[in-house]
Order: sequence, then C-alpha cells, then structure tokens
Amino acid sequence: MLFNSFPFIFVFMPIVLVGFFTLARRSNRLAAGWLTLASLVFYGWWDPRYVVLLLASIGVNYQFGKHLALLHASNRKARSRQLLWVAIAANLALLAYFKYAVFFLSNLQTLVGHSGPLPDIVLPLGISFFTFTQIAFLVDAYRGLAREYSFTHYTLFVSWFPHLIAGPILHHREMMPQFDRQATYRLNWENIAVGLTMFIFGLFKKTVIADDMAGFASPAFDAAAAGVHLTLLEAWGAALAYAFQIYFDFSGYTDMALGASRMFGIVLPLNFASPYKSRSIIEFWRRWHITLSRFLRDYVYIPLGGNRKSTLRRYENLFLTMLIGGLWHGAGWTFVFWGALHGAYLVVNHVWRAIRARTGSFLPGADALSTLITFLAVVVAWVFFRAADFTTAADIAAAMTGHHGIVLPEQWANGSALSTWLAGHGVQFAKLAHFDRVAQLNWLCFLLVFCWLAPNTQQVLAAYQPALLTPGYGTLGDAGWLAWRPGWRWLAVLASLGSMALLSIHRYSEFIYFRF
Amino acid sequence: MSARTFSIACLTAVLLAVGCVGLFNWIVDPYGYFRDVQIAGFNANKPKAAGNDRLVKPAWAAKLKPEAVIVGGSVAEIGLPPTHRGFTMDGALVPFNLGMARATWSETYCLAMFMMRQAPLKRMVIGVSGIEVTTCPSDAEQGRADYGKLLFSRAAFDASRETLRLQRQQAAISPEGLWDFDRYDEHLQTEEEVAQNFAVVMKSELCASASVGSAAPASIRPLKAPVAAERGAGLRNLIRLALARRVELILLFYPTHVLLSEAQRSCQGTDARWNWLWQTVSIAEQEAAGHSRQIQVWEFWDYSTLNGEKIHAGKPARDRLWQDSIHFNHELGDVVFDAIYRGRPGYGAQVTVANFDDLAARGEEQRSKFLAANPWVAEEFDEVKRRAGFGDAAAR
Repeated sequence: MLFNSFPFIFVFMPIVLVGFFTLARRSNRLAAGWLTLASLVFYGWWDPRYVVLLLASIGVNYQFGKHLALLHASNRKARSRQLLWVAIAANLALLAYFKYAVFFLSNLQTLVGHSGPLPDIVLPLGISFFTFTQIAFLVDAYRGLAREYSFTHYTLFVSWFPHLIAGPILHHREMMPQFDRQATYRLNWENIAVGLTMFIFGLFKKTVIADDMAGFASPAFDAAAAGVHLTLLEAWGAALAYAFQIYFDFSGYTDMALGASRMFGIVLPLNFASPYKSRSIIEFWRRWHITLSRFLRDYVYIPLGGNRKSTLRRYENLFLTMLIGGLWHGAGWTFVFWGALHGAYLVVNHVWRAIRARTGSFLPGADALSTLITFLAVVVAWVFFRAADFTTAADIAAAMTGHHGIVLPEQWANGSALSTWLAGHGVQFAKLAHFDRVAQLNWLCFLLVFCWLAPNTQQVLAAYQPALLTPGYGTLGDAGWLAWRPGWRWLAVLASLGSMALLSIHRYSEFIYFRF
Repeated sequence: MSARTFSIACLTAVLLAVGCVGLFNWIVDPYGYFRDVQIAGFNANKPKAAGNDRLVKPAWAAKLKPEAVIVGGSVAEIGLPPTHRGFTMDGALVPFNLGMARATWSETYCLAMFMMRQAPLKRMVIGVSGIEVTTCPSDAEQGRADYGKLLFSRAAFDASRETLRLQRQQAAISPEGLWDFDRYDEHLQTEEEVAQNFAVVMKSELCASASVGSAAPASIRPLKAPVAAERGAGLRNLIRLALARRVELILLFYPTHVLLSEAQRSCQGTDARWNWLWQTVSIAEQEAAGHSRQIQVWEFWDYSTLNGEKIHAGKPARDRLWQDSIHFNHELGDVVFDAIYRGRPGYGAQVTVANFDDLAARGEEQRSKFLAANPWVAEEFDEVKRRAGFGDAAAR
C-alpha cells in the first residue's frame, strides 16, 4: 500500500488509528498486536505471499537475537560470535537471493560467454530495509545492547508500517522504549496535529513536486536510453529534474513515514535534513538517508577498521563502504558506479579537509562555493543512479559537458546582442525535444533556491520533537517566524497544501526508495 | 487554538476543499462522463473530452448500454459516424463510437468482447488491425469509472476551467464519441500545412526503397495460404460471441488514401495487406458459414476520387474528406456506412472467399486506370516523400 493513495489515507489510517486507541483503553498488549496486524496487512496489500517471508525472517531473527542475548549474559563470547556470523550470513543470503542472484548470474554468463535463461525472482518490497534493521538488532544483541523477549513487540519493531517499505532503518534501542511507554497508548492530540502536519508536507512534496519532476526527467532519460543524444541544456535539465525528483520523493516519503508514526505517538529517527544545503560530501551523507549512513558507519565502516588504521586504509574503508552502499541501492553496475563515485568524492573531501586544516580557509564566500560544488557533484552522480545503463549515463554525462553541442530553445534567438553573440560562438537555436519551455527551467531554478534557503519540516516543527536525533547527523535548528504552531495561519497553509496534494494523487506513482 | 481543534479543523478544511473541487468537476463534467448538468454556453461543449478517451469512453459505454457500437483506433473514432441513419436503423438503435486514439488490436479486441458481453448490442463495427487473442482486464475493470481522476484531480479541475473558457470553440467530440481531431485546428488550414501534415503522418509508412522517383511494384500476388484452425483465435472469439449474442458484426478494413496505398505498395506492403484480408475472410467463413449477413468483411481500398483526394485540392482541412493519409472525416464515413447499411454501390466491397480473387484483380485494374487518369498521384507522392526526408532515387 502506498502512503500517497486514497485507500491508505481514507481507509487504512483512520481504521488503524481508531482501532489502536480504542483497543489501548482495554490493553496495551492488544493495541500493540493490532498495530502488528495492521502492519502485516499494509505489507501484504502488495502481495500477501511475501508476508510469509517477512514473518519467517522476523521469527528466525527473533530466535537468533534471543540466543545471542542469553549467550552475552552468560559471557560465552566465542559461541556468541559464531552464532552472530551464522545469523548475519543467513540474512545476507536471503538478501543475496532475492536482490542479487539475477545480477550475479547475468554477469557470470557474460563472463563465461554463455547466455541462458535467468530465474524470474521478484524483489520483495522493503527487503533491504527489514534485513538491515534486523542485522543491526543482531549485532546489538551480540554486544549486549539489545534484548527482546516479547515476540509481538519485536514483530512490531521490524514490521512497523511507517518504516517497513523504505525506512528509516531503525535501532531496537530507539523503538522498544516507545512501544513500552504507557503514554504511547493514550490519544494525544498534539501527536495527531504534528503527525498530520508532517504527513501533509510529505504528501505535497511527493504528489505535487516529485511527481511533476518525474514528468520532466523521465522522458529525457528514456530518450537517452533509446539512443537520442541530448543537448547540453536537455542533459542538465534532465539531471536537475531527477535530482529534485529524488530529493522531494525521499523527503516526502520520510515526512509521511515520520508523520504517520507520530500520530500513534511513536517518534522515528531523523532520516533527511536538507541534504542539498551541504557544504561537503561528508556533510551530504550526514543529511541524506541518515539512518543508512549511520548503519553503514556502525556496521560496515567501523568493523572494517574505520579511521583506526593508516590514512590510506581509512580511505580504502570509506571507498569500500560507499561501494557497498551503492550496491545496497540496487543490483546493477550503475549503482555500483554511483557508490564508487561517492566513495571517491568522500576520499577527495577528506584529503581536502586535511589540506585545509593545515592551510586554513583562503577564499571569501567559500561556504557558498562549497555548497554549489557539492550540489553539482551530487547531481552528476545522480545521472548514473537514474540512467537505464552505463552507456546511457555516460552519454548524458558527456552531453552535460557540451559534447553533443549547445542548443538553446529557438524562442531565445530574439535578436538581442547576447543571442547574436552566442550564435556567433557556435551556439545553435532550435526547437528542443525536452526543456524547451522557459516555465520548466524557472521551476527548476525555483526548486534549487527553495532547497537551499527554505527551512525543512524538522526545523518548522522543531518545538515538537518531530524526529529522534543521532549525534553528529543533522540538526533540527529553528525556522524562526515560520515555526509551526496550531493556529489559523498554519491551518490555512495546511488546508491549501493538503487539498492540492490530495488532488494530485490520481497518478499511480511509487516512491523511488521502494525499489531498494 | 488547541491541538485537537487544529487537527479536526485541518482535516475538515482539506476534505471540504477537495469536496468543492469534486462538486465543481461534477457540474462542469469536462470529460463528459456524468452528463447530469448540460447547459449550452456553460458546459455543453466538452473540448477537453478529446484525448481523454480511455478515462471516459469505456465507462460511459458501460453506463449507456448502446445497441450499435463502433470499435477501433483513431481512424474509427474520427471517421465513422455513430449517428448514421443506416447504422442506427433510422434512429432506432442507441449508438456509440468507442474508437480510441492509438488503440492497439489488444485494446480493440478487449473492448469489443467487453461490449458484446455487457451491452444489449445489435450491431458492431470493428476496425480490424489484428486477429490474434490477448489477455484482457476483467469486465468490471474495463467498465469502471475512475472517480479519483474524474472528480478529485488537479487535471480534472484544470480541464473544468478550460471547459468553461472554451465554450465558444468548435465542439471537438460529439456526445456519441465521434472526434474531430485536427479538422478545425487553425494551424492545419493552408495547403502548405496540409501537405506537411501528410508528410509527417506518412513518414512512418515509408521505407528506404520508396525514394523520390522510384516506381511502385506493378502487380500484387496474394498468397492465399490456408488458415489453420489455431490461427486468429481473437477474431474467432469475436465471431463466436457475436453469433451467440446475435450481434451483426462488420469486420472493416478502413478506407485507405491512394497515397498511402502507393506507399504501402512501394514498401512491399500490398501483398501483406491482401494476405491479411484473406486470413480474415477465411476465418469469418470458417466460423460463420451460413451467416454471411450477420458476419461481414468489408474493404474500402478503392483507387477512386473518394480515396484520391489531392493534397493540393485548394481546400482547408475543415472542408476536406481526408485530414491526412490515414484519417478521413465523417463525410467519407457516411459513404462507407451507406455502402454497408444502405447497399449503395460504388465504394468498397463486401469480401468473401468466393469473390476475393475478383476483387484483387478489379483493384489492380482500377489502380492502373486511376493512376493513368491522375498523374498528380505520382507528383504528390514524390512531394510527400521529399518532405518526409526520403531523398531522390537517382541520388542514392
């Protein structure tokens, strides 16, 4: 079930909310069971068969976790370590089968020069998220940081519908106290108001902005995949449109997930904090998909050695972590390359930081320049993330450097001194297949300014703790006069945004992160 | 304001706003689905219904329960008049044109089966573009109105505003589903614009061998291969259902402009066209032997003045029989229906296994005579090829 669908908004959410608070009057346990059941229905809406897979994964990991906690309590470290490796291997095997088997086999076939039929394996929704969530739980159980005896609560923790399909990736220790807390089971209108506000923000971002951007980006990327050479303007238009599509898609999803959860009194961790405002790639990964960055840091980068070995080894670890991060997003070489590109960016960023630590800042306005360079680097990387294949991505990237010529919309050839000068320097004016309308380019510019200057959802709602913070990852900050409070002004804003968002739902449109 | 008041007020305001938009869209009804409020000068003309066929037509047809239906692609939607007196038995039958732009054979087949099952049909005309079977959505799905899109969408709201604004514009689509397409577009009225439009539409029909100055093959040789029982399952299903429901079924091979016929012949498509016709009549005969009045196959590929309207005829698009090489206007569709339903001779022919060879021979003879009497065909064909970017044969 999609958050941006009428069945979710008008049927699922009202029924689950009313059912939860009604049952909670009788028993917290019953209410938690209700939420678990609702989460499984939410998941099964896509394909009921995969609920069995989800439950099997939950059941097996629950048992592993229980045993790991007992072994930790009895201080049997060697046995505990063995069991942890078995448990992690089992989880990775499941992920490998569903997500990477076809990729692996097709590459193997290419390598040995043999082509045969590939298995038709459907990727279960959210498998990367619930697998990572549970690996984190197992490691925490091994370290003695997590202990769970209630199967209902554990199932709810993993399958909690607002995060199940596309994150955030949760930590056991963040969620369990909330499921145990008495206040969670009491209707709190402040939670409803804050959750509703976040949900409307997210719905608007998704259905009005991201889906509109998809309408700009997809035809251009599809044309490039079909062999059409995009011009400079078209290639940049496509890359920027996709950069804003994925930004508002993921930001919108995250707002909706946090908002839906908050209505039940459950606060989820911060997962998205204006990443395009970042002044460096290091900062970007502390603002974009925060819970994945956190997971990769805690469970990949640090176990690899982190920065505890030599500088060179640190860079290797960083690069490898990002490579794994790229592969996590999808079984394809474009994702691997995207991860490698970000790995390289991070290494360069760390080298640059080390140089600057010695030389100090030497440019006035360096922050603005850093933000711009970071943004451009991210946009270039998105091209590889979005393109159908590596050839298409390389072709678009080449077009972005003017390799396929510089052609501007013919209506810009207005006889002005500038257009004459441009024409004299090899710039052509013709009808473009994509991004021919000035309104499209204005819209892209507006979104860029908006992303850079506007406060985010968390800042607007900062006074109401909209998200759990992870030290070092994003901050809430303050939105000043834009700070949310229940009143007529925000009522008018939300009514407008909410109605526009609902009126834009008619297109079936999945979230990009549903595929990962 | 308390959080409780705020939450309730917020939800109420959002729902109220969305409800108002829904009400507005229902009253204006830009796509012509509800038809509860019809006021001349306010919303009677539906310029935004055109191009939204898939959203409205199947659902409306399911609600209307027509007795005489036309199914096919844009050619049917633009050219075949549902209100023709012969087609409607002098107005006794409720007609509907369910043709849809860019409809594939799969869509045409599914809609035809759907209508035969769901409506009290007496007559159906199908523009034939395939013969095989395809997997169709359920009837409930095909006839379902998407109220989200019709009422509660930004697109419908924008269409409603445009509908109110464009009431004085020429009606684009009739209540019975006939679409004017480009006929009244301002940018298609000069001869130059018409010629360019012909070239654009014909470009996909041309091939490298159809270069300027090259001649089309002189004669055709239909294969007339026997049609195996397992071939044409889709067409067989349609015929069987029509027989079972006592629906009079016309399998129509659309009128073809002589320039398009020449293009197809130049690209070795004419044999394929006649072979396809042969398969259709063979299947019709196999499935409906003894029901030649109920199940009929018609072709309108004549080399005649009706299919041979010059590009440079000195007429704007609004007054022409042909908008381009594929789409004809309903005046020509009237002649088609006159031939089928009123028995008026002189255009097209009913095709059977028995008269197939005669028709093919007659077609060849007619072509030779027409081309001899109308040298403009070769000139305009060359012009179209040149405009479509197919260069000079000598220069190749």
